[in-house]
Parts: sequence; C-alpha cells; structure tokens
Amino acid sequence: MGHSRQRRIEEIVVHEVALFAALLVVALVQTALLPRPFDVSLNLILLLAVCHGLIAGATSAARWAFYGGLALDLCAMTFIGTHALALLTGVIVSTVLVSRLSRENWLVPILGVAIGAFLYHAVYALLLTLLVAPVDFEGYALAALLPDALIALIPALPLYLVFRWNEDRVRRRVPVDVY
Amino acid sequence: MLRDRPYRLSQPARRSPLLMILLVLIAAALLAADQAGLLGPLRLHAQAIISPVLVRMQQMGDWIGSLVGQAGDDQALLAELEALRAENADLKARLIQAEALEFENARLREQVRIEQAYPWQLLGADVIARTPDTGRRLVLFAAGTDQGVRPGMAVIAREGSNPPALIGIVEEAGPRTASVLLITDYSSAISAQVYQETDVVRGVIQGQWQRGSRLLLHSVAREAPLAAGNTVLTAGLSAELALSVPRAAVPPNVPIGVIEMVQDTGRDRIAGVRPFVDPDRVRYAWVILASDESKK
Repeated sequence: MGHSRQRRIEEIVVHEVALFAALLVVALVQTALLPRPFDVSLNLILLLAVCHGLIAGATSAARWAFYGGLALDLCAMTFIGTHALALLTGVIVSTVLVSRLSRENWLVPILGVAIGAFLYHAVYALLLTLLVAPVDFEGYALAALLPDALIALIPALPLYLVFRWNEDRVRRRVPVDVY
Repeated sequence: MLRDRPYRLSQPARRSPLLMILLVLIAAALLAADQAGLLGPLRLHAQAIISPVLVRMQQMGDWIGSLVGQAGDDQALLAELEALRAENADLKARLIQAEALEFENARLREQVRIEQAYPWQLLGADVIARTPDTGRRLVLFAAGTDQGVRPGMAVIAREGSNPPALIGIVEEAGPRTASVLLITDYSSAISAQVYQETDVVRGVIQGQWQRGSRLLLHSVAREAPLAAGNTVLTAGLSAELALSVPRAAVPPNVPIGVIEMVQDTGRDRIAGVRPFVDPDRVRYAWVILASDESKK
C-alpha cells in the first residue's frame, strides 16, 4: 500500500516536471523563435493556458499558468513571479468566467483569450508600476495590451478546436476489454 | 480482446480554489523573495543554462525568418540571387578566408574605428534575446562579468551612417550574459546635454517606447536655446561627480540622438528626440568598459 502511494507521488512529480519542461520550451520559442510582426509578440503561453483551461478546468489551467509564468520570467530576465502572477490572474478569471458558456459556442475561446490578455496586461503593468517604475497606462494599453490581445485572438479559435478535438478523442475512446 | 467504443467519462475535475490560491501565493512569495535579492544567484544559474539555448533558437529564428522573407518576395529572391552570385565571386577571389573570420574582422575594425574616434575601451558581443512581451525594452547581451561587464555600464551600437550611439545601460550582469535596459524603455532616465555654441543645455532623456522608439528630453529650463536638429549627448553627471549610483559608469558625450521638435510645457521645455540607433533593431553592440577623457 505504502509502496503504491510512493509510486503515485513519484508519478505526480514526474508529470509536473515534464509539464514545466514543456512550457519552458514554449517560453523559449515565444522569446527567441516566434516572428514579431510590427514588433508585436504572440503570447503563446497565455493562449495555451486559456484554451487548455476552457477544456480542462481552471485548476489545471492555473498549473499551466504558474509553470508557464515562471518559464517566461526565466527567459525574460524579469523578477521571478511577475509573469506567473499576471498569467495566473488572467487565466483563472477568464477560465472561470467563460467556462459557464457552452463548450460548443465558438465565442468561448475569443472571449476567454480577450479577457485573459486584458487581465494579464493589467496585472503586469500594475506589477511594473509597483516594482520597476510608474507605467503610463494609456500608452501601455495602446502599445502593448491592444496589439497583443488582437494578435492572440487570431489563433485562439483554431487552437481551442484542436484542444476540444483532442479532449473528445481521449474521453470517447476508452479501451474496453470485451471477452 | 480489446475494442474501442464510444464512452463518455465524467466532466472535468471540479475546481480546486485551494490549489489556485496556493499557486497565487507561491508566485507572490517568489516575487517578493526575488525583489529582496534572495533568488539572484538561482536566477543567474538558470540564465547560464538557458542563454546558450536562447542563442541557438535566435539563430534558428533568424534563419527561418530569412527563408520566409525569401519565399514571400520575388524581388527579394532576385536580389538575393544577385547577392549570392556576387558573394560566390567574392569567395572565389578570397579562397582561404573564412566567412566567419571576415565577419568578426569587420566588427573588430568597426570597434577600433570607434575607439580611435572616442576615448572609450569597448567590448563587443551579440544581442541574443529580447523580452518576450511588448511591455518592456530589455535585451540579453552575450557577455558578462567574466569579460568585465558590470551593471551601470553604457551599451552602444552603430546603424547606417550615424555615429555610434547609446542604446542602453547594463542592468544586471551574470558570468556570461548581461541584461541591458534599452534607452527607449519608459523606466530609463539618463542625464543628457546639448551643446549650443558657448552654452550647454542639460536635461534628462527618458524612454518613450509607446511612440515608436522615440525619446523625450525633459527637465530643461524654458529659456534654454533648444532647436530641431540639435544633437543630444550623455551628460555623464554621475560619473563626473563620482557618485556610486547605478548609472555612474555612463561617460559623458556619448551620442544619443537628434532633436525633432521642441515644445514648452508650463515652466519647462521638452524635446522629442529621434535616437541615432533604433535599439530594437540592434543585433550587435559594444559595452563601454572604460572611458579615458584625457585621450581626447
């Protein structure tokens, strides 16, 4: 009994480390590999966490946001926790609010990502004001929030459909022993 | 015998507010600890591991970007073809010269030219990564404390026919990398001056990234003789006064940009400044390790 419990803990640890490693790779891609049209970056981590949250629930999305935020902090040379806090707020609130709608509604990912991006930037700007220097919120909204949110909306629906398709595939196809 | 058949499992697991609150608290605790300087060594170690990967991925990104650019533009392809032909001919003529060495030599020659013209001792390196969000203007520089880079040092670059100009200040230095706060970041404020025949106008140059990499010169007296076209240089006030503040290593008279417009606000006069070098486009830069004013 104790042996199986220890094994279960080990499995959880391995799973969490693998998730962090995968999100670190995504953060590296977001930082170094993704093109920046008109100097606007696509917030891949936010997009993935929100779409995942709309399918798998807010708790799982919070884990993604936390690990993804830490990975972004490491890549971005910001104080560790800055991106994590901003992402957690954006992802949790948007997931909780939007998951009340039907999963079949195509507006779900659009709304989720829009709310998530808005809250992420609001908290991020607030943290910058508190920790680094006062931010001109109007300028920040025009130069960072709006373009980032708009560019994130483009892949939101296709990505959500991929997540939903995968979830349906996993949930419906359960191997059953028939003798 | 195993067979798949449609089977709907229960809905996703219920929300666990406790776990969510716990994650938020951990993030806040990490933030507080890092701000207090407790996680500095850990962060530097992590960056030492991540930086080489970032460099490789940045190179890969540049390569992919160049491929996409080629595919999307026939004219660019033709131009590229011509350039490749010319390059091929050049390579045949030079035979034994490796391209990488040639490139390195060009950069070193550029560095020597700058060091002859200005009283600076320079260290050149690649800009290997940028902040992943639009909110800040920080870059990662491929040289660190092992090469003599220290926080507060000025970072310069050159673009086109413009003089070598300030692009940022080293904010944090690890063993092999350093983060550079660009002058266009809103939190960057550096003492600056403009020479006007017999007069010197001094003020503070502040980042204005929201306006497309432009800068703002403020804290200037209303009667100061400023005009469009004037060159803005660093004042190096901290270095001059030997203050032990983070900006103390910025020497005076490092070019910053050109005044585009002058405006009066209340008792002050402000000026919009176009930087000589757009920091967002820089791929290679130099850190001013030391400045010897007597060389001039």
